[in-house]
Amino acid sequence: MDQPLPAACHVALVAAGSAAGALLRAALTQLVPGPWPVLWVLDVGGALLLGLLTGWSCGRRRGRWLVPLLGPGVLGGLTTFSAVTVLAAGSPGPGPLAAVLGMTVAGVLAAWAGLLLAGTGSRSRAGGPDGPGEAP
Amino acid sequence: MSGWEWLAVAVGGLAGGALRGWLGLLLPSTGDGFPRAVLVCNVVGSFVLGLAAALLLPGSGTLALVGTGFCGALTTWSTFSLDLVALLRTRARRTAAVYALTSLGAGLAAAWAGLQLGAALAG
Repeated sequence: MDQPLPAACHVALVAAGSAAGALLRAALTQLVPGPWPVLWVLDVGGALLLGLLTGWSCGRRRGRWLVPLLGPGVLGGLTTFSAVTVLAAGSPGPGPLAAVLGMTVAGVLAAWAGLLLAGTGSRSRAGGPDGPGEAP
Repeated sequence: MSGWEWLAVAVGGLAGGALRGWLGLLLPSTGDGFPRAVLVCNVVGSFVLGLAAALLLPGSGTLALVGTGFCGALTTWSTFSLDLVALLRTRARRTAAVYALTSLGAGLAAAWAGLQLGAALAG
């Protein structure tokens, strides 16, 4: 019943969302001083939002184009891995390495929290207008 | 940032996102759930950003295009985190550990190599 989106359509949605995400990231970088604080906000916040989106979209039929646009698109473009690795590789001492490991743990916890928060919401909606959802 | 720099970020972000979206279709996760495409994107993007950061002037339009736009959008932390959660939830702890350590180790090594090569080329 749920056919996957055509490949070109999927790539176009991810690309368009990523452009918007990159612009948002550039805007936030202008607002928050210092490279590490903004990376923490973007990456850990983006992981939380992706967890929420994934939990929310689980078992939904409608808006299947919205998930690639917002997930790998906007949130994929908003969050970044390369700025973290280049910043850490270009800084001396064990501090940057500890920050990368800390950010990895924080990202996992944030994404997990997002999934759980959205999962609780969809269970309470079961039987509602969206019909009995497939429990995640 | 000037209007041209914002445009450069958007165009770079479009290209980086398109490449990540296309690689995701080309290299689906292996049977044990190992996310190959995101690993490739994150490691390649780390190398290119290291190179760009060493070669290009801070605040230049080219760095906005290649660095903030392309490398920033090609690489991703949110999917990296969510894929780790998916592996941990299916109790694939060994795959999760291998994925996290490979991503961080190869990503840091690629970033360092890019910075060194860029510094050598810049002379």
